Amino acid sequence: MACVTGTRRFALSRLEAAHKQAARLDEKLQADVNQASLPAARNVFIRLRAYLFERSQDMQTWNDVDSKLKNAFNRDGSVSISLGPSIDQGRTPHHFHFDSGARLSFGITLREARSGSYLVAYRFHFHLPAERLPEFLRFDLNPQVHRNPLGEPRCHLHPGQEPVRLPLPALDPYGAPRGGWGLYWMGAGKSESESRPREGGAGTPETQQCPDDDDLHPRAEPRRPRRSQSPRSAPQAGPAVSLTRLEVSSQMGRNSLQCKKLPAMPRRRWFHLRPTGAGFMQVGLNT
Amino acid sequence: MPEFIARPAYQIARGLEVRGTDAWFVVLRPAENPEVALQDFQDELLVYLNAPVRIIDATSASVADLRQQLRTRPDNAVVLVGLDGWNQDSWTSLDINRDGMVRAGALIFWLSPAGVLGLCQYAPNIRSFVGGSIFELGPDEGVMSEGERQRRLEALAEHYQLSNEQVIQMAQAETLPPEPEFVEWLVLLGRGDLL
Repeated sequence: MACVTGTRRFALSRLEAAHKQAARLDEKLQADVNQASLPAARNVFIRLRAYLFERSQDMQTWNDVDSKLKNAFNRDGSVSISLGPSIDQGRTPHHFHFDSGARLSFGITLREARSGSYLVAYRFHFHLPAERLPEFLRFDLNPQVHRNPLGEPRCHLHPGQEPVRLPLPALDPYGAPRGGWGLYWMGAGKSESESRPREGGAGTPETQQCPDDDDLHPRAEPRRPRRSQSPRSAPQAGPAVSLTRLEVSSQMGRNSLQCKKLPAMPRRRWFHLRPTGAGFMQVGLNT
Repeated sequence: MPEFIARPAYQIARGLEVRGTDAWFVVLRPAENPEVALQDFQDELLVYLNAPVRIIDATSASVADLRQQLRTRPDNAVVLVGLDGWNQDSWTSLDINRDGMVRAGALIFWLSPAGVLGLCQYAPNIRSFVGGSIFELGPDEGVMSEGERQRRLEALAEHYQLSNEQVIQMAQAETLPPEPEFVEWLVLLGRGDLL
């Protein structure tokens, strides 16, 4: 009996610790988002459009970005930038389409400030091609910290399951060179040798990165050396997923989500997310 | 006044990118909010040309001054404004100095209809450099229309089985679910104040 009580107490203390840790992470995220200074919302929109246009051309996939990407400015200073439907209920002509068959829709809410703008919320729904698992990845930033940050982290990833929320740092929609949040995907195909993942040798996980990372950010400021620590989450990928490992690690108090050891494929189209600045979050996925 | 092709700023900027950095364009500016349009145009150029874009005001500048300013940092793209009030003599003088204005960076003449007329009538050499690259600045397709806004609202209402009024009431009572879709909903309703 005492043993059961002890076990329960231990479980409760672990749950309590997890709640506290989740609250700390959300607090940190809140501070990061508050500090992230973005250009004027109009400028964010212009950069996003240019970026999507360029990626579409790189992929040689027709996406009428000019008519798909929309903005709505309100007198109260709130701004909505969206592409595709608010709720993904299947393939539509309004999505951003990848040549692999994957599709993307998103909505970003900003609020204009005296100088520039700041981030309120976003939703990026990336739907993989048919018969790929996970079926989708959705990256959400909620407008506020929830009273239960363990169950509803402010910034999270749904890895193909609506109820599952993996906490994440906030992302940058277009790759501002200094700080913030980020969404990238690579369009142009590369030769096998060019696109082969750079894998660190055994026992040197610190050197492992997503392939073609430098090609994705030719003008980004130099990244700090990335130092991964022990993974804290189990790999998410099954046999049908080309992403072999998805790791969450921590560096300088920041969470890091990083994919490693991506398999060699003859033709590559990467959906790629990584933060700008500190290099503390990175996701790569062959679409 | 002849009709020119109306293009939004981003399409003009993309055209400039394709034509090469030393291209000369004429942009017929809008009559309404020309300052805002100029700022947006400069932002588009910055993104597509990936190079500094300077705005030079020629309102009270002499031709010699202009040449000097264009020679300074010749790689920069330049948007030349303030030429609308120029008379025949000024245009002719500028036209004679056309070759002295040739530079590595792009040159865009930001003009009103009167300015375009002046350039076409009194500056044939500049006109020949510009060729067919005279564009009227058109509206931006990216602005969400009222119909598009309503369709998005209807899709949200259908998915969540909630009315717009209910969403506003829930936001006021601070009982709105935390998902970003509800944020978009409020913004589309013009109630960003409830966020």
